[in-house]
Amino acid sequence: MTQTNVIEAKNLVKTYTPRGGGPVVQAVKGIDFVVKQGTCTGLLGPNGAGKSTTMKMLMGLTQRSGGNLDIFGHDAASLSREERTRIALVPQDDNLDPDLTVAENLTVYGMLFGIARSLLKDRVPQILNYMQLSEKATARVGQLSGGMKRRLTIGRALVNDPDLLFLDEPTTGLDPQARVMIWQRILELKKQGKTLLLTTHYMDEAQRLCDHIIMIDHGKVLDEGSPAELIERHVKKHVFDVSKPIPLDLPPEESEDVGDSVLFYVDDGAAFRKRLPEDATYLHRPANMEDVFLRLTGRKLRD
Amino acid sequence: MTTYLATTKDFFANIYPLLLRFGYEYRSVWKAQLVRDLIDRLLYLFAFGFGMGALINQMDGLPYLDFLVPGIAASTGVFVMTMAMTYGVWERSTSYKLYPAWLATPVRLPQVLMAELLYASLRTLPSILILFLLAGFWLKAIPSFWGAVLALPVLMLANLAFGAIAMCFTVHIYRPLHFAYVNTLWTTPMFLFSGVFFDLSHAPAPLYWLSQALPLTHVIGLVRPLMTGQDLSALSVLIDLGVLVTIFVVGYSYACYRFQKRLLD
Repeated sequence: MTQTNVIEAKNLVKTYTPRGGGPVVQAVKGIDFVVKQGTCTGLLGPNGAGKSTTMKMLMGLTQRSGGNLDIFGHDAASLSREERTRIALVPQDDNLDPDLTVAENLTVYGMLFGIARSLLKDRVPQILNYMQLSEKATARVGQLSGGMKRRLTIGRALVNDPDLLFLDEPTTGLDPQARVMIWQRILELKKQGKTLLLTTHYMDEAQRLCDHIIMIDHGKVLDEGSPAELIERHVKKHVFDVSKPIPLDLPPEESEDVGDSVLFYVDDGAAFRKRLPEDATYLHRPANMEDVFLRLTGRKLRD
Repeated sequence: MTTYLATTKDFFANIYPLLLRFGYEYRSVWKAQLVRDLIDRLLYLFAFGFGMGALINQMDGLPYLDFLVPGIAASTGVFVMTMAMTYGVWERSTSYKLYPAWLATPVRLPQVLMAELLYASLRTLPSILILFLLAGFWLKAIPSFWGAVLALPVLMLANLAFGAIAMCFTVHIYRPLHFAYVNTLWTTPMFLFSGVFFDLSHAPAPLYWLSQALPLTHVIGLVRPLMTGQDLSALSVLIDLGVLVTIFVVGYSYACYRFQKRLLD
């Protein structure tokens, strides 16, 4: 089965001049990617890499400076009303309406998508139930906890039953319970055949949810592939986090000094462990997306 | 930009949910808003009506209260619309980031701004009506009942014009602090020099021409004769309505254009 491309970006560029002057900033410097139907694609990169700018261009919330960007085969900047009703966004910051109640937030949003108020009388309670917010239906947004606001923002994005969903850092700042709940919902959406584009700073989240990952930094695509492909391509299978002092006679594996300890990246875990002295303090784990991320984008702080 | 302005049917289909949104908001804040809007107007009515009114018998051939009431009514929109289209729009577009949320749906910016104008404009109706009831039945200061009824649509049109002007300020303001200038340099001078409190037709030339340049003068030029039964020539009606319609159309279009640019950059 060939999957159609829901999103196609070709040489996508975004530049802007800061207000009050200064040099022109190139936020996105010509990136290419596709998002296939029914997949969850992750857009990963450090702060300032160009993820949110790309998301905004996709949503038509900012104008691209160059290149092509198609959604459903049409220019993203001039989608029809019909096509717009098939897309939803979970933005990075919860931008819920503080003047309305929880249920009113969903009703108004649904109507903005052209859904009749009579249909929403059933649909809004369903969504509240699905996001475990039923008891809060008449509360004002200001009375919700951070996790509840996030759930409401995600619920709001489901009100139009979208085919394509953008999730910009959906679980940032949430407790583990809320994260797990949101992951379940995202996986269910994927099962329903929806196309998802996700940004996140949590590599475990990306690894768990994404079929395909696009790594970007400094406005450029660094690499892309499935989590397993990326791990195989950029790091070895095992990571040994060995505390200092480092035993002297270790084999010359790829390693990285991270302060109190040194990370060793090795393919044959069992063989490496045998070489470690019995009294060495170390942590052994399979390599993950976090290793790939740091390998590709470096350890230097951003922002 | 091709779908920037949708078809007329789509245009209003998208405004309705936003009006409903404002309706929900109004349901929870109407008391506070009505009290504030109304008390504001009544303070001026009583202070000038009874204070100045005790010193002045007639103004422009009218009992002073009769002269004053239409001016106070017409100035309601200046204050309500300016507040709503400066601080209010700032709050919703920038503080609460509701505009990005709405624009992630099929609704487009011109529809958002139109909904803002329509709602704020309708919001002035209750306080104007109460003002009319008080002035008409208690102070007996509205000679023409039907004139007062006719004044209402004129005041709604004026609201749209005042709102559109305030939006044009907002699209150029990047710090809420600077909204204070709008009050100091726009609403207050307009309130003072548009003939709300005194007749400016015999004022020194610079003041007279200043008053002619202020849109509130043209609103009062319509509603005062309507409500007091003074003569109103067809030509002056056309000029005054034309000024208001032009301000609304030009101001609204400019605000849409600049706001779109500001949000999309």
